[in-house]
Amino acid sequence: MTAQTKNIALSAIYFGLSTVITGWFIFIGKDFYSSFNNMALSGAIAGGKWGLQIFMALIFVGFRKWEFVKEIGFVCLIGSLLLLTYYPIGFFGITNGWQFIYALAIAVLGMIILYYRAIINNGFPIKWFIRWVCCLAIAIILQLTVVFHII
Amino acid sequence: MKKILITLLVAASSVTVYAQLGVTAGLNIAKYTYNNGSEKKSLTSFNGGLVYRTTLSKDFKWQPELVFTGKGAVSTPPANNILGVEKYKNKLNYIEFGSPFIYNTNFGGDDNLTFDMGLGPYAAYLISAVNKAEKFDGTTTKRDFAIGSGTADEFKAMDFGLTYVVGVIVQKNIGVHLKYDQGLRNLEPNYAVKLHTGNFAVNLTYYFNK
Repeated sequence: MTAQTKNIALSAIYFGLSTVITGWFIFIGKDFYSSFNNMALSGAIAGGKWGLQIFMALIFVGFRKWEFVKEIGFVCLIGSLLLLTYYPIGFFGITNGWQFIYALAIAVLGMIILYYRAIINNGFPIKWFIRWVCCLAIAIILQLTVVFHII
Repeated sequence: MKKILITLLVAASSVTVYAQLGVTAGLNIAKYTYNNGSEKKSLTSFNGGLVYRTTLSKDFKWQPELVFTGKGAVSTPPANNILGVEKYKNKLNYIEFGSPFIYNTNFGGDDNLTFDMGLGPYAAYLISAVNKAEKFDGTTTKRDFAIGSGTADEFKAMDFGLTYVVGVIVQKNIGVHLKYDQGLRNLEPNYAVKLHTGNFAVNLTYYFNK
């Protein structure tokens, strides 16, 4: 297996698992969504920022593009796994909306740290981190406005 | 036949080079919750058993474990209850097989101190369930919960869920881990309300080989 094939395969596994876990998280938080369409929209926004990153990477990164996609795929997977802190948070009596919000906050914080680390450790330009943070900020605003109507 | 056996033995021994067997023991803080919002208080218990740790790749380990673990919860009835009970300790004793996949890193430092973060499934079988009533007058009474899925039963026998692990490995053969088990199966056999277990544990593990 060539390095590129391995990177593509790992990228598919990371993003595939992330999709399943994020879908599960949205499902267990179904009481906080007003409709199924809102759940789908929430998932689409969460996945959209990664889709945009992959799309831009495939166009602009050059010969290391699949290595880049694999690295951000791993960040995405760990971020999705951090959503599962939902359960231990509940153990401490934090329930309902706050349990959901704390798990999201831990996942976002974890992803920011890991994305930065992946960019620096692998010698990719810091502008990719800044772009991703911008995508993340837009995604959060969209979740708060279009999905949950909080602001 | 002899050649095949020798080949298998060599293959098995080459695998075990990358594996560690160990013993683990720890303190549990457990409780179970209902989906209707009512909640029990936590119960302190313990766990102990065997662990196996093998290398999947440079950074990934698989650490299946077979342990005896005490879960359950404490409930407090109203203070003026007719039985004079101060609290009930509901002890659920399981044989549990956990199978966490662990990301292990030294963060660029020394291999004598590495960090574990992991997640995986577990399956647990309820071997005994005891209700201990502690009364205001200092006396206690015990009764066994009925285990099973029948109409007279109080807890389902099989539980499964997710096990979370974070911790450190010191000198390659001593592990200190904080673990959390979240039961995903509803253990209430009869009523509409759903019951799920949760358990935090702090464990000390000794691996026989480095």
